[in-house]
Parts: sequence; C-alpha cells; structure tokens
Amino acid sequence: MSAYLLRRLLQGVLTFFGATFIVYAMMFSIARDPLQALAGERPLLPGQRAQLTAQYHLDKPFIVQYGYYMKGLVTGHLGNSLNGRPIADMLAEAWPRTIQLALIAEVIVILFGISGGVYAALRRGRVFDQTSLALTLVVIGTPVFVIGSVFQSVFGAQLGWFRPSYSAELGIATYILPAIVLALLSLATSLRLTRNSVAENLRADYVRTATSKGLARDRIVGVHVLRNSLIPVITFIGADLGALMGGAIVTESIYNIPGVGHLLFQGIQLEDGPRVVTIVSLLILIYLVTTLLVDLLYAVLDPRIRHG
Amino acid sequence: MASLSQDAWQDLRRNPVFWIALGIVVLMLLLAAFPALFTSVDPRAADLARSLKGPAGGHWFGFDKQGYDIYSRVVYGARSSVLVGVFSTLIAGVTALAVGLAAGYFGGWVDGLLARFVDIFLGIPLLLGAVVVAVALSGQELGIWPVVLALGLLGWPTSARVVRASVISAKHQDYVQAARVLGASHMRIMLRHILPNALTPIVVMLTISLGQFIAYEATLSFLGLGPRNTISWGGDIATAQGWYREAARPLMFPAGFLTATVLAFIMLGDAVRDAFDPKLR
Amino acid sequence: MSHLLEVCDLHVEFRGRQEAARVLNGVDFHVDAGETLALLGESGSGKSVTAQAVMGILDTPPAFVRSGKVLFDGRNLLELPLADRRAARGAGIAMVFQDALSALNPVFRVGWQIGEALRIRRGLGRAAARARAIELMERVKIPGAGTRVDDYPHQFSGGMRQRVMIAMALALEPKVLIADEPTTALDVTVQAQIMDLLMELKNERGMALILITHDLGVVAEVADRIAVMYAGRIVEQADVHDLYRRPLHPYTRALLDSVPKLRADDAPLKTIAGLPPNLARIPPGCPFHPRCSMELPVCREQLPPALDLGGRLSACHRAQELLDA
Repeated sequence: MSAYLLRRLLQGVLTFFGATFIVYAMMFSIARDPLQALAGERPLLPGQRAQLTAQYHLDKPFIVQYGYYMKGLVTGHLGNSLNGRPIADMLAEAWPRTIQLALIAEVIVILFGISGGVYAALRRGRVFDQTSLALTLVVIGTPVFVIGSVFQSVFGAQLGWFRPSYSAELGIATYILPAIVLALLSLATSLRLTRNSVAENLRADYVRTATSKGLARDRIVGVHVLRNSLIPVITFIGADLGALMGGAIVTESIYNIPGVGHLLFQGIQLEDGPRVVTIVSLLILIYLVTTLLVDLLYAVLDPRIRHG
Repeated sequence: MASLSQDAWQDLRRNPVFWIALGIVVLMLLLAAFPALFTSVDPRAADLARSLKGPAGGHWFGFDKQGYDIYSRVVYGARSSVLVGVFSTLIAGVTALAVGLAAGYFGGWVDGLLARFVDIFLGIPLLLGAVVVAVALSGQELGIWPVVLALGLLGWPTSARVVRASVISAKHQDYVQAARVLGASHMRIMLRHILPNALTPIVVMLTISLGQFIAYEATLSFLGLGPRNTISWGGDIATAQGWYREAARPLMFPAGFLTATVLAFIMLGDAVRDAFDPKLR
Repeated sequence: MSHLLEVCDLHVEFRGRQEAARVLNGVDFHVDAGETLALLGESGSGKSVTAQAVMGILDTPPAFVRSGKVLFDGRNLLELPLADRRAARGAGIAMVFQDALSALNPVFRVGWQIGEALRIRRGLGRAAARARAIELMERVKIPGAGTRVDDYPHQFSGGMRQRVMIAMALALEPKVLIADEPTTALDVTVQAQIMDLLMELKNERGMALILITHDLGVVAEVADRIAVMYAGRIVEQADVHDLYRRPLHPYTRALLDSVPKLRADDAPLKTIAGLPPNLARIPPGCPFHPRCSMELPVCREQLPPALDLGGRLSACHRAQELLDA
C-alpha cells in the first residue's frame, strides 16, 4: 500500500512543479516583451513597468522568479490586477459562485451519467442504448460554448423556460441552466464510460459465480457489477475537473455569472495579463491536487491497486 | 495484416456514418481552400440597412446584426478553423510520434523519463494552457500561429500514449524481433517495421484530435483569443451570442457548421477505429 | 427409483448470426447422493456447457436450451418459476469454477463473498455470516482463516483461492456439487490436495459430486462412474473399473491409449487423428466416424443409439462386438 502511495505522491509532486514551471515559462519567455504582453495592447506607463517588474521579480534570474511566483500562489499572495485591485480579493468574492455552479454540474453528471450508462448497458442494442450513444456523441463533438449559446438562445430567450442570464435574486435556481450546459460534456463521457464498463463487467466470470450462489439479478447488478464498474467512472469524473474548469470559463461568461471563470474571461477581454496568469495558475494547481487525490481514491476503491 | 485491412475496408464501405463524415470533411476542406467557389458575396461587406434581415435572393442564411451575409461569413470562416486544425495536428502529431516511438521502442529508463514528461504536460488542461500562450503572444500580430502553437505544443500527450501502446504491441511481433536479430538499425526498425504496423490507431487518434483542435480554436476565438481580423466561426458565434435576444439565426449557422465539422472528424476516426478493432467484430 | 439429479435428453445450441452450433445433442446422465460422476471429454465436447445448463447459468444469448429436462429432487429445474430456480442454486446444486481468480469478485473480501449467500438467502447477520465464513475457511484448510477472512482474492495463492471457491460453494450446504475443472489451473502438487479435499468433503456431507475434467488420471483415482462426452453426446458411460479395464467405445479406447504410461516401453504414444467436428456442421451418422479406426459403412449413415450392455452404456455400432471380443 505505502509503495503505491509513495510513488504516486512523488509523481504528483514532480508533475506539479513541472506543469507550473511550464506555464510560467510560457507566460514569461515566449513573449518578446513579457511586460508588454501582461498589459496587452495598451501603452505601459513607466510606473507600471516598474511595478510589474517588482511584482513578478523580473529583474531576478528566471528560476528565482518562478520560486517567488510559486510561493505567492501557495501562500495566497496573488499580487494585483492591472487596475490595482488585489487579485485575492476578487477571487474571494467569485469562488463561492463557481463552486456552487460546479457542484450542481457534478450532481447532474453523477445522477444522469451513471444511471443512464447503467440503463444503457442493461439494455444493450435497444432504443435507449442506441439513442444515448448517438446523442452523447453529438454532445462530445459540440464545443461547450456552442451548447451554452444555443441553450441560452433557445431555452432562455425563445422558450423562456429559464432566465437566460445570471440574476442573484433567483438564488440557486439561476445556476440550473448553466450547470446543465457545464455538465453535458462530462455527462456524455461518463455515460459512455459507465455503459461500456457495466457491459464488460456483466460478462465477467464473477457474475456467473454470483448467479450460481442463487443471488437475484438485481443484487448481482446492483452490488457486484456496479461496484466493479464504477471504479473507472468515479476516477474519470474526478479527473475530468480540468475540462469542467475550462467549461466554467465559457459557461460563466455566456451566462454572466460573476465567478472565477468570468473573472478570467474579463481579464482576457481587458488584456489584464497578471489576472489571467494568476487565475490560470491557480486553476491548474487545483487541477493537479485533484488528480492526485483521485489517484489515491482509486487505490481506496480498488483493492488490487492498494495491495499491489 | 493485408487481409485485416481489406476486411476493415469492407466494413467501412458499408458504414453510412463513414461516408457522411467523410463527405462533411471533404466539403469543409473545399470551403477552406476555395471559398470563392461557394459564394460571390464579400463576407466583410457590412450594410446596416440589412441588419438581422431574413434570407432573401441569394443570401440563403440572412444577415447578422452588422448586416453581414451569414452564408458568406460561414463559408469564409471555415479556413481559419481548418488551418488551425491541420497545423496544430501536424505539430502535436510529430511530437506525439517522436515521444511515443522512443518511449515504446526503447522502454526502460527512456520510457520512464518520457512518461513523467507526458504526466507533466497532461497536468496542464489544454484550454487553460492555450489561454496562457495566446495571452503571452497577444501583443504581436501573428495571425493563427499563437493558437496553432498553443494547441500543438500542449495537445500531444494523449496521442503520445496511444503511439506508445501501439508501438509496444508491434514491437513484440515476430518479424520485428527477426529484423532486430538480423542487425537492422534502431531507426530502420522503427520506421520500416514498427511504424507502419502501429499506424492505424495513430491516424485514428490524430483524426479525432484534429476535430478537437478545431473545437478549441473556436473556443479560444469565442473567448477573444483567436486570430484578429480573421473571419472565424468561434468569433462570429461570440458576436452573435451578444445579440441572442434579438435573433437566433446569426448564432445557429456558424454553430451548426462548427459542430458538424468537429463531429465529422470524431465520427470519421471512430468509424475507422471500429472497422480496424478486431475486438468489436 | 428416482435419482437425486437426472439430466434427460438435453439439447443446447449456440445461435450465431448465420448458423447455430449444436453443442449438446441429447445428454443423459444421473447422479445420486454420495456418488462421484466424472464428465470426461476434450475441450469443446460440451462438458462445461452441460454443467452450466444444469446450474442455469448459460449465457443466453447465444446459448439456448432447445429441449430436455434437468430433474432435481424430482422437479424439472428448466420449468420452474425463476424464484424457485434461483432457490435451487447454491442450496441444491452448487458449483466450483476452474479459474478462481476471475470467478471471485476482485473488489470484495473473501469472507464477505463466502458469507454473502448466508446473509441474503438465510438471513444471517453480518457477524454470524462472518463467523460461519471463518468456519468454512477452516474446514477447507486455509491456514489462519481468522485473519485471511478479510483479505481480497488476489492476495491468495492459486490453491488457496480454489479453497475459497470451495468454501463459498459449501456455504448453503448443497446436495450436489459440480466442480468444473477445479484443478486445471493449478500446480500438479496442489492439484492432488484440492482433489483430496473435494473427496473428503463429499464423503463427510454425503453430497453428489459431478467432476468435469479432461484428465484421465484424476478420474481414475476419484470417480465412481465416468461419462465420456464427444461432440455434445455421452458416448460411453460405465463404472470406473469397467471402463478402464474394457472400454466399449473406440473414442474411449483412443483416449486411454493416448495417456503416457510409465511402463510403456514397447509402443509409441498414440494420438487420435483428426479434430473434433465443427458443431455447426456435425457429420451424419456417428460424429466420431471420421476419426474412428473401426469405422463401418453404417457409421456414416446411422447415429448409433446408446446401448445398454449390462449396467453400462455405449453409443457405438460395434459395442457388442467390443464386449464380446
């Protein structure tokens, strides 16, 4: 058990520093003038130039710059946006909304992705199975921003089923349409994954054994098959957080939800380099920590890995 | 092997999905290469008098808010998507091939080292990484290249894993072992013996990623990070989204074309994989 | 007199897209309490399918029972309502599978799996089921059963895993135990231990044991009666001593001749020429005739019926001749 954990943790640490280093390097070494890139097309005032140089320690050697930058990220010293506001303050306000949105989306994914997948696997080749396979393929092939825009136009503006953009006074209800949009891609993928996994496990030898013990089919599917089938699905849903975050940028900007994704979107529109780099780095950080946790969860769920 | 690919071709020939997907792909390539064949309307001719007007004489899809001809915009928008898709797939494909071949063929510490390298790049969600690259290069007028570079340099790790896996399975075939015993060089074994036999899954993977790169390009354009002064589906969808309360048509047409293109590449890849995958027979 | 388990004229086919393979073509046998019957045959002869049909665990589709009866305690299992059929599994007839690693569920503890039927079918509590699982594991001689009860299948050696399988099959105290090649996947030394254990348990509990195997050595040691299968039929059935002393079917003879003997210094080892028939296209007449060394013209045209030759059966046109010789 400890050997797997240790190896996985070491890999996680390596990936963590490697990935953040690459992101940092991309931001500050591809551009001809990183300071100008941070400010986009607007002219940089001499004062701003000095302030940015200090904020990112651009007068120090590259590896030292990276060290400062990581230290800031981990300790929450995120520096200021180009307009002078502390990025940490902006984020503190935005986080709860993004988390609410993502949680609702996850619930939708788990509820419909898994049950749909199990149902499709149990009726392989029938109408539901065929339809869901076709529909999920369409969803997988459609960029999130297209689904978001089309749903906003159709279900928001034309049919009027939902308020087409964020309104705080609606409370949690305002997140439903955006959360559906955000969830769809993961839902489609996890439905297909669940279907294939359950279908494969239904043919496993241990199902025969369970049948010959005189167990009812419901129990065999609900306990034996499900427990085995869900291991890859749960790890997928956890690891899919990266896609969910990318989707949150798009979804929040379409529906004007003032969350982290929207903050990032605004940063891009306003060519506010510091804000964009900081938020992206933070999101990647969260992503890396989550994938590590998911790998550990995998070991908890699958005894073969745990006692490997 | 020959009979397997013949069987696969027999399967493909009878699969309508394959032909539909191929048809859409070919159509999109034609749109990208020769837009003038499909429309004589200037996609940049704005006429506010026609703002949001419906279809009329020769303007099949009607007009958008600024009075652009939507059909013409959609036709000319294909080029940026296709170019970004093709070039970023080339970069990502070459990287994935090099890394996957080396890791799969040499194994041992080379494989271990490259695996960590792949892990690191997989740790960067593609859209987020691409945002950083696009922002870093935003000050300069580089056209489609920042997006191509971002997708090409960050979008290879999954394909590299596919290449590695197929190389490993090809490596253990008898004729490869034979070539090695006969003293063929590593390069020769890799290029002449292993690569041709590992090609199908790689081509399938790259076809699917081409579709995905097109989706990412459109997403970046939608976020305002696409090439400037270029007509693109993503950009037009972003503009239309701003007016969604007034009209759906300017949104639906580019969205439909984009989705059809992405789907076509994914379905093409899927169809070829299904035909070649003996497990599903 | 009725038997504990009786299989009558069982036909099973596998339906493919274009053609159907007839894997069982009229299988008849019976087994009584305390008796060991060996189903012997090459792979593809239908012995495992027979076991699965008796248990009711055929993969349907593609497998379908076309006709026949499986009488257990006088009731035809094939016609029972689903719930009664299920009740017969485990408690009436239980099964030990060949590959315990894939037959056990990888993500549950072995004690949980052994006790599962007790909890679900007998309503035992968690603790009671666990205690009973430990007892069963001790009974099948798993050292340290009290701690190993919480281990997972992959943590056991092949032989120990097969003991877990046996403990699980015994949980509901079945009257018939079907062991499908229980030792094929194991090392030779472990094979003997597992067979000894099975025999011991059979004698202790007075169970009927149906042993499915292709190993003539195993059969000679443990079986009371042997049924030899070929192309989905039982071609010869006899008491173990009679069968070994004087096989009355050319296929059985060929099988016995193909076993290496320690003192066989004179003759080279014989093999059976040719392959078993394609079950989708079984030749007319006796299915063994293309490979038979005693073939007559009649063998190509008429399917030989199973002849009763004084308490033993042989489905060969020349069985009487062989008996008289």
